[in-house]
Amino acid sequence: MFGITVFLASIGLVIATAAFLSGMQLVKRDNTAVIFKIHRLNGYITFLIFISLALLALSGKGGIKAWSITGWTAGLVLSLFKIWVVKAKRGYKYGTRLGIILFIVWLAIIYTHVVK
Amino acid sequence: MMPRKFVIVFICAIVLIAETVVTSLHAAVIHVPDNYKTIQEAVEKALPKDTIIVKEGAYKENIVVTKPLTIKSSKGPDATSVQAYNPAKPVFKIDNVNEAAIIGFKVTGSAASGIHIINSQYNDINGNKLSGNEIGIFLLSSNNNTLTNNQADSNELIGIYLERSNNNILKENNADKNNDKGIFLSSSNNNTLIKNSVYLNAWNGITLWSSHSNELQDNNVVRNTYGIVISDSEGNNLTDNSTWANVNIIMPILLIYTGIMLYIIEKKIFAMLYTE
Repeated sequence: MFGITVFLASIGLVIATAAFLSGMQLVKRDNTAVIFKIHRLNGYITFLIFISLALLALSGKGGIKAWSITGWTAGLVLSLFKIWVVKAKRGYKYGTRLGIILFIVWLAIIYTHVVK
Repeated sequence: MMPRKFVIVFICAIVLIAETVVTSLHAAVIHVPDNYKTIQEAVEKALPKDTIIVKEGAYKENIVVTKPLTIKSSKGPDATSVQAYNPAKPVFKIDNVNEAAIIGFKVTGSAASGIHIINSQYNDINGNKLSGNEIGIFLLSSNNNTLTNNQADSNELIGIYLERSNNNILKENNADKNNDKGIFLSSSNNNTLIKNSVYLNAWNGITLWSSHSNELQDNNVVRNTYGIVISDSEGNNLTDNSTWANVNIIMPILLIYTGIMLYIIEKKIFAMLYTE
């Protein structure tokens, strides 16, 4: 019940919150190198946790289900798109919206793994 | 004198052999579906104390046990399931029997109960998985039974329900995600609940209603709306039970708050590390 998925999902939301806040500060042109480093570190950690959770969920007892694959793949595509947008410095204004969507994704993960 | 002694010894030996033969005949092992196609057929043909071994597979039956039999799956509940043929009746009904055993089945699909024990004593219910029933295991006016290692999860009402049943032992069972209560004792006394896990039931984890002198020890009663609820009951002994209400509803808020704190700490640490 208090398995690894609950732990990872909880840590994921904590770090995603920190990443979201640092991202907001970057958008507000509070663009110091320190904030950028924090944002990048938190972003990569949440991405790794996301991948771990996806692998654990898909290899779990319930097996691979269509809706489960769709959800995790959508989250993965969003994360990769966000990284690409930031790295390519294209559509920078969409970075904020993608960041908000990713934060909502983490709330959804928390709902399925912890609250429900 | 000698022949008479010899006759007595001979008669004793015959009686002993006959008793052994009768006992061994009584303890026959019946295989389903090899000897009989259905479990119910095997139950009807079996003699008291026989063992019925059920091969893996999905069976659709309502089984009524009226004699002391051991009904056991060969490969455990993940490979052997019994679904109610008539959903209005229990899947297994033990009626007025002493010393029967039901071991290692997945029991589903009854709008009454998965395993229903009525007026029966000293029965052993072990290692079963009961889900999708109205009640997982229902003991009515049944005493001195032992329920161990059962998983009574995701039932419509209650995982394990004891009514007017005394001196039973519930040990290391799971009663999770039931739509009403996990374990419910109603007018049941002197029962022992040890090391049961009762998680995520819609209302109460463990309920004692008009039930006295029960022993609750080392149970994990976590994330139910209410943990252990005791009403109109006296003399119950509760020791070392873990109870944690469903605070997970507010968990996201706590986690976000922790995230904000983490960000503030990170800023300070990074500022220290990267000062020119």
